[in-house]
Amino acid sequence: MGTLAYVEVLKRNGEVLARHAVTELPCYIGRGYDSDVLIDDPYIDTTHLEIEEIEPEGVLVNDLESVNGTKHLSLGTPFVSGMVLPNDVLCLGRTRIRIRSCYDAVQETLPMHHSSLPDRLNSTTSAVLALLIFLLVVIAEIFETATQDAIKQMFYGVGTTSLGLVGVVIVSAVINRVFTGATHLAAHVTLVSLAFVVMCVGEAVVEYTFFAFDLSGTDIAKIVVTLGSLMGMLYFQMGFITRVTRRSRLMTVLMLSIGVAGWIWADRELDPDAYAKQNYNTVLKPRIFLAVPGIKPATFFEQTQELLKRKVDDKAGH
Amino acid sequence: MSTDLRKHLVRAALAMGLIMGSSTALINLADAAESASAQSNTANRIFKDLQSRVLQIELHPRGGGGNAATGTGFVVSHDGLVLTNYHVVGNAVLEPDLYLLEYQAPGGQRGNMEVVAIDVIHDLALVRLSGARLPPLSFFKGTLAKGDRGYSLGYPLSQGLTVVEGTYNGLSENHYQPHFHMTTAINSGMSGGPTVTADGHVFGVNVARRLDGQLVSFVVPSRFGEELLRSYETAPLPASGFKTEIARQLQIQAEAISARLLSNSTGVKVLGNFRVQDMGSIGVECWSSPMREPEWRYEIDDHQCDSNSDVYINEQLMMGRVKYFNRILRSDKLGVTRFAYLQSTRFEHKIDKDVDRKHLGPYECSDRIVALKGTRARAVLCTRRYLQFPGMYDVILKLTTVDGKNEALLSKLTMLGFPWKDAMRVAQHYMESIAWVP
Repeated sequence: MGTLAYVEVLKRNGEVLARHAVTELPCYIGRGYDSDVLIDDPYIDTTHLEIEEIEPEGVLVNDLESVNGTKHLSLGTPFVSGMVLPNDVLCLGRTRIRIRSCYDAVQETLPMHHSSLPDRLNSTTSAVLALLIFLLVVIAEIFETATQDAIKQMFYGVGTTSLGLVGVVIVSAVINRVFTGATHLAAHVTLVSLAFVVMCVGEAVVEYTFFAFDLSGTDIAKIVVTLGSLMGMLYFQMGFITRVTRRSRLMTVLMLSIGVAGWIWADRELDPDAYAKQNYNTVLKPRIFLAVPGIKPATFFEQTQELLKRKVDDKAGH
Repeated sequence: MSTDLRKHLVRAALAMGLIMGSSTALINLADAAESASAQSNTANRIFKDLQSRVLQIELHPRGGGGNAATGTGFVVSHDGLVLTNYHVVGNAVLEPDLYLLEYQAPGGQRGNMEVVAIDVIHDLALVRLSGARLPPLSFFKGTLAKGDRGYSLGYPLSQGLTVVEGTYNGLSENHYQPHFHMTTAINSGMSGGPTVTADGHVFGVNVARRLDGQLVSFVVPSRFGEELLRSYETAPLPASGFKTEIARQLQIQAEAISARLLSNSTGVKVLGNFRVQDMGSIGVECWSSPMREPEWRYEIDDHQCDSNSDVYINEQLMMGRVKYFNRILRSDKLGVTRFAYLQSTRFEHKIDKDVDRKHLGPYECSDRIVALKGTRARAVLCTRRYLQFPGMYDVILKLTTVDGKNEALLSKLTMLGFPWKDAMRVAQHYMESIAWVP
């Protein structure tokens, strides 16, 4: 008897890891050595699923009262028994499968250059991303420098960094989605924190090299804290390509929060003078970065003096 | 050593001498010998006439112990008012809980005294003796000519009442407040003592001496003492209001200085391709210093001015002073980026970290890019508040131009102990007057 269908074991991004031929019905899928399709996953039963019937419109599948159950990923619901369509993905334990029957239409052959596009784009994507991050650092710097004001500066600092990060998330998500099909949250988070590290290291290096800034203890603390949180996340997310649990997701969020909190703490507490120093220290840039028209002296005094007076009076305990 | 620093030394050392009482650092035996040899019969007569009415004033910590400072005072009214320097009694004014004042007459009589009126601008104070009634010294009414003899009395370094003969040399030319320049040996402890004519009439109150010169001493014209006495007799001030009174007096002076700085009479000084405000017209001391080193690939031209109008409040506080500093940075040999780097490092602003938390709040700053005449500049405005004197601030305005490829102006205006409004107006005027005229 010829092959009736194939059971495909999938990666999270949809790539096929393995194909098992179905030659007779009913066909049993499970961890046991007596299964027709053997899957090595401790979270599935010895006989987990049964393929009962193969029909032109789909495949009739039953869950054999398994301990962890089966999930219909395309519908997002628990699966017990029913017709599974050709593109539907089922999740057994931590394994994803798709069932292709011999009735399924074969897709047209794609010309070669199309299939190699993602490979070529991967390096381009990285380059674009790196450039984007560098631009964000520069833009954040220009804004910070040009419009520095005690309160605004705080918002600009936090705001531009956050905006930059959101931008990186969106861009990387779109790129990944379009060209690789990956949608995994942890991948993005890791990418973002990597961008974070690049941003602060980049900023520190750029400042130190070109603008004669001090590489302060705060900068080093920032880098250490961010690198630490990245390492922690990588550790907890080692297997993020194939499995993600609630615990690891929680851990990711926790580590990221600790990282951000640590950053803010380091910024404000570790070197309390650094915050004030930033305002009036060696804030001077080469002209290429000064695309700011400048305000009239009268406006300068209008804008700054009231705020300044209030702050000085407050600090003096008035 | 810059004149700026020297200036600090005069007052600081005088104050320190008072605190230490017998600081040997200030004793200049050569000066003393020189003065002693110049004594005359007139000095002899003056000493005899006035000795009973020139008192030593001692500042004691209330908790007991020795003198915190000593000075001199002289009787100016029948009801026991004594004129002295504010800096002799300043601690008792600012911290009456910590210090009390006593006097000691040459005859050995002692007694308490309390401050009743102050004039911090001219460094004068009126104190009242408890109990003692002595005939007052009279003030000189005429005018003096350079070269006239003057006799200063006081208790130098607690050596007992001393008379020193010297020469009157007119008004000092680099003090904002009027001071007579006397060529005589005024030493720590003589502060507040009278300087009299050969007839024994008071024309000045001993106040300071330059440490970097020989016998260059200063006395406050006695008319300010008379004015203080008059104003006290017409409208006495409650002792609790001294801090407000200090702030009020400082404010009057600051307003006067500001008005002069804001008036059109201040000229323009050309430095390189820049024009800056010239404060020479307010009677300030200015000096320039070009700096060239063979190994430097850039040139520096400095120009700075100081109003010399600081008012002594206590050992830590000098208020009511304006100074500015302009630096032209120029280089034909450095590229744009390296010049910007140099400019950045030269623009560094190191605000004094040892902030006097007892008297001053912390600095706060704000900075922007501003458009000046012909150029843009980064402007930084920093300010802090005086804790004990309502409405008084230190204001620093720093700016540096950012448009020149190989020439930049670095400018710093400092105003110490100024009312907010005046400081802001002066700072704005200062900023607006800067122009780039290539």
